[in-house]
Amino acid sequence: MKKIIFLSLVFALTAMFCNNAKASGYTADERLVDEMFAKAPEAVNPFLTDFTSSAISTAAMASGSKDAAVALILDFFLGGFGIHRFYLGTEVMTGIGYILTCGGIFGIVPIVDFIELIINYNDISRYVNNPKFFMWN
Amino acid sequence: MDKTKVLVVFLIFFIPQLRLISQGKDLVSVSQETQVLSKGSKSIFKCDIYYNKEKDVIVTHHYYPAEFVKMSNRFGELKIYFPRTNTVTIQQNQSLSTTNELLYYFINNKQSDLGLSKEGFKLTGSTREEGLMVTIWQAPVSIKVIDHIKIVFNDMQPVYAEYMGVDGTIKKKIYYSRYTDYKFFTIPLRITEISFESKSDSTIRLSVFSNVRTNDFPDNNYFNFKIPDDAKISK
Repeated sequence: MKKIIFLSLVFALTAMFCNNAKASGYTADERLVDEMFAKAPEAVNPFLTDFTSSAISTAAMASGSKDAAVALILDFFLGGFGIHRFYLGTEVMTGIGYILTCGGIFGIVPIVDFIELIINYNDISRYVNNPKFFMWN
Repeated sequence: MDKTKVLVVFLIFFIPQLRLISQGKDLVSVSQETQVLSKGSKSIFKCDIYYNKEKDVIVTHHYYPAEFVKMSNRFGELKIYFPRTNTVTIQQNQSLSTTNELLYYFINNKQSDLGLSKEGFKLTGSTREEGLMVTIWQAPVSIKVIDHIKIVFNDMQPVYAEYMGVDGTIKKKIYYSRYTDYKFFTIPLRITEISFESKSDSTIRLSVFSNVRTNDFPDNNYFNFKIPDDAKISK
């Protein structure tokens, strides 16, 4: 219930924020954005909590298994270039597709990839060696 | 004192000064903290960026939530080094060039189109609204999802970018604010991006830049970072 209320608040604030941005021309309501971030809890997922203590296993890499934390980090910082997809294993054209679409449809695809990787953190096997442009489809 | 001696004295005392001035201009470091708000929770990422303008090399030291070092150059060579496992990932593609990074455009004063013309976008219109310059960039045919991008400038600096989809909905909004002058360049210290995944869902990404330095670097900086020779290459 708490989560639903919080999500509703975030969506409402987002809508308000967008309207304000339109009304005030082309500037963001920074106070409102800061407020939203201040209220939001930090994501509790293995990516944030366990990464520093869990070494990326070189042996695991050599055997072909992929680390979800590495995929998440690559997606976040280099997702626009599809580097996380290269890491997970995909067709060359898929990676090139990310580049040609200026970061997988202007950065939207990497964001969806990021969310998918967080949700399915414990089992990312369906994304490994996935040839599809939209890996979640 | 004859001319030769004067010249020698000049060279001895003046050239090192020139070098120092040049170093101040060519090396830039910036701290970046990015927060992403999605599905009701936020993720925080922190890094320090070291840009060698002369060589067009960018070294980024990511230290939160995980440590790794990303190195890229103008030729599109990209190396990501993970100190914990002493492994390195290497990619090469011209799209990965430092000349495609946002910081490159601002530090080199090339923010007039934010690299859109290089990506095949064409300027199709410009108007003035309340003292601001509003420009429209038509997407190339190869980009089937985006119809055009609107970029709004204030005093020649981009303050707003809007990505309009072919379906008539806004896909992304970016706000550039808190512009600060650093003698040789001007950068926005705050960038707010809102990506609209659907009508009811969006992701907000807030990047705040700080600690911008153009000289006075500590000895242990990352400008000369070298990946250890014994690092294992992972694919």
